Amino acid sequence: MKDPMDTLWQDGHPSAPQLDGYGLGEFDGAVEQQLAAHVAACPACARRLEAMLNFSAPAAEARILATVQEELLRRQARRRSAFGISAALAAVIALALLVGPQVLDLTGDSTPDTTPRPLPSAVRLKGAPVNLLLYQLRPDGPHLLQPSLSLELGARLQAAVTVAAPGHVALYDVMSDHVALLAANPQSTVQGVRPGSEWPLEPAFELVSVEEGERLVLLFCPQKFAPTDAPTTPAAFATWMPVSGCLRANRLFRPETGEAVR
Amino acid sequence: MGAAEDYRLYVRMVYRVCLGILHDEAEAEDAAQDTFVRYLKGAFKGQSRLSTYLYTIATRVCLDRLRKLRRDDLFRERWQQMQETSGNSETQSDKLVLAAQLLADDQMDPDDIHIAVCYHVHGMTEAEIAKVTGFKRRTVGYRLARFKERAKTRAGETS
Repeated sequence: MKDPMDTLWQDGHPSAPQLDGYGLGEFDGAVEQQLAAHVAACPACARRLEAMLNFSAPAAEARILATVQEELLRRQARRRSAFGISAALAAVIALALLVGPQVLDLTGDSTPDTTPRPLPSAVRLKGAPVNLLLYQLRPDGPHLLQPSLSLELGARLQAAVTVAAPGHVALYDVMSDHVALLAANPQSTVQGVRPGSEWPLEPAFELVSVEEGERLVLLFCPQKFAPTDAPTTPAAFATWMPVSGCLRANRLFRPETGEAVR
Repeated sequence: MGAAEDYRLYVRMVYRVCLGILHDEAEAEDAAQDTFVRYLKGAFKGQSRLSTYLYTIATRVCLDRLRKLRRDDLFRERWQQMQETSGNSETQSDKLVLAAQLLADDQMDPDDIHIAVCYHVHGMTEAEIAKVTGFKRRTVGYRLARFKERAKTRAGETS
């Protein structure tokens, strides 16, 4: 009986994925030279490579590519949606926590403390940058409460900022189906990551306190822009989008009651 | 891989791999799409070169399709014709026909067939297969031996 495996080739030749990878330019250096030398010396592999390179099915390829693009767009839309909801929720929670203690005493007459605390000029994480800006809407117009904080986030990573404790900021990785704490100030609990190593955020910064009647707007923007370009009137600021793709959290809620903070 | 141009490079390769296994343009197109959808789910962690990874995923997708399609009489008939026309010629189709025959064998582990096609048809090494499938290399070797044994039995039954 003939061994059916006798008809199968294996050793001494690059595998099909290797040849394809070679044709697609995946290799460089010594491996590429080795493959080039083999293909030059081996008529069988040269024919295989030629067949691979000559293969073409434009109509099918176009349809497959269109489906892949559609899938990509769907995923991007889902991510954007998840980002939008999560970012807004995180911002609302963060700001509600920040604002909550201040506004519980609605008749209070405390003096606003709007002195910015020392901030890291930029926090670099993995991937693409996200800029976070927090504006305080005062009667005389919007005021930037902190300089733009540049964050480098992973390709699949989306930013949200919230507070692990009042006045302290933590960063969250908003994935498609869960939220994981990435980094926080030393007072915060960090889960699943090594605090201060992979995603250093040292030191955490404190946000200024906000008084009743002063609204906060948190902007998440995909690229840097000049925050000083913000409109000076509340009406113009209400619809201001510094660069396309920004997300903004305009409404705050008290964590205790869910009531909107105005 | 992220830009459309990158996908374009690999779409051709994946479609060709699928067509080589399925021998049906529409099925190959669907399988190629499934392959990229699986890729987009993010299982690729750089454990191998991308071409090797996509070959492996495409192969698995195609074998899964074959397994389902073989329940269809027309498809079984087509494979039967392929088997008859390819005879004993030493072509890759022989190996695929053999794999397809074995797919219908309920006693055959789908992972064994997947590994066997990667090894015997695509010419991947055991180490390469182990890396991309997550099996230990020894397990890959064991599964290949089991496939070979089964294939021998099958060839004896059909000769």
